[in-house]
Amino acid sequence: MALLSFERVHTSYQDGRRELVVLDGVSFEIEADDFVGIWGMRRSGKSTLLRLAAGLELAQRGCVRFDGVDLASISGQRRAALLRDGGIGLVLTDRRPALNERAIELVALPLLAGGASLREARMPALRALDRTGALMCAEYPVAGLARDDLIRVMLAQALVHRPRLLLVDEPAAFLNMREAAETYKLLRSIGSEAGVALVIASEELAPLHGASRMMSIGGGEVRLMDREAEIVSFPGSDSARRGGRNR
Amino acid sequence: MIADAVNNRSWMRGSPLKGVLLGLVAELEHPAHAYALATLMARRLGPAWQVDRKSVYQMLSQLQSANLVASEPLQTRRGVLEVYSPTEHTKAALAIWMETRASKAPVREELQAKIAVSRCEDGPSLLRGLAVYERECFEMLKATSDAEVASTSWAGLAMALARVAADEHLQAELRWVMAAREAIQDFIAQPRR
Repeated sequence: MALLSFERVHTSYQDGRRELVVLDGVSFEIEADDFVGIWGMRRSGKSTLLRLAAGLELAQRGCVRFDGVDLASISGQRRAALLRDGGIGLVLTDRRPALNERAIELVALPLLAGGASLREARMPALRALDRTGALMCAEYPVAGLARDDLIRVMLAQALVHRPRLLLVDEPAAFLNMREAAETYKLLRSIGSEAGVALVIASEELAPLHGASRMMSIGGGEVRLMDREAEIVSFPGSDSARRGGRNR
Repeated sequence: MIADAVNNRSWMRGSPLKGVLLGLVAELEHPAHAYALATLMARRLGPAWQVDRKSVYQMLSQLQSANLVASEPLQTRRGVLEVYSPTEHTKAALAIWMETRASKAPVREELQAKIAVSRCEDGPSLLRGLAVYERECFEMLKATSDAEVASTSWAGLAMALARVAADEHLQAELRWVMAAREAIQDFIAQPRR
């Protein structure tokens, strides 16, 4: 059984008078231990796809399953619990954390939200910070952290509850070449670990080096770039007819 | 004679890979055979250049004719191999090549040429061509996946910069594929009188 599956998922937004189709009957599966790179241009639907995978949004049609469970069939509380109890880790780098806690407190949040005491959460949080190379940031307020350190802290927060699926959105944003190279190295090392599937969505190609599978997203479609995947023909196929983005 | 070998720039005509080859020969500590140089070249440049090993022999021959590379036979367990080493002119010629203005190669992608003269009825085959092209770009990206680039040395930094150039080039190609696909699909889908 796949760890994550999208089955004919459809999602669209109203953009003025037009309907902007983000995912149009998209289907794919991600296995445990996969390292998947998703490339797409700005506003192609990468973040929406990750939010659907994490259960932060529900598909308008179709089904998203994590570990065989249809995310639309469980309560909002249970979906939220997936993000703190060894299910799914999510890193959205497009915004800084809203609160200016110390890094260790930010990393411990998923455990605290799950009922752990500060004392119980401290050691796992330090271990997660150590894993991402951000241990020295533990006592600093996150508002003062450099961008690359902040991403390491956000990764630690996503990893602290030992998720089986880690979703990372735009890890390259606002990093210089050296910082980006170090961040990608860390991501590749996480991607090579047993027991965690890694999905990186990026407008840049560089973070996707090392991925075992690649997908591209755009125009409402997700295309698998595996060599053996069938190339979609046009016209005549469903996906081709769906084709349009703005309706 | 020395000035002739160094100042004669005719070897620079054609592929810039000759300059790369000259740079690699210049830094050799021991003579190397063509296959080793081709491997080194592919590693240094990344897969975007698609170094043809056969062409390396031709380029070495041209550099040898310009007296910028020397060769000698070496007896090995697998027979006699020609190995290459720098001459007294190699470094000076390399320095001149480094200072020579780099020319911008024209875009010569076959698919772009086909699209330029295509008709509406070619849309389906162009879309298939775009899908294949897109996958090839990702295959090229995957081919660079395993190489760790250290930026603590100059050689590491140079390789990292070549890698970034290849990524940016591929990214531009993929953006073009995506835009072309959407435009062709929209055009075919729109109702016509």
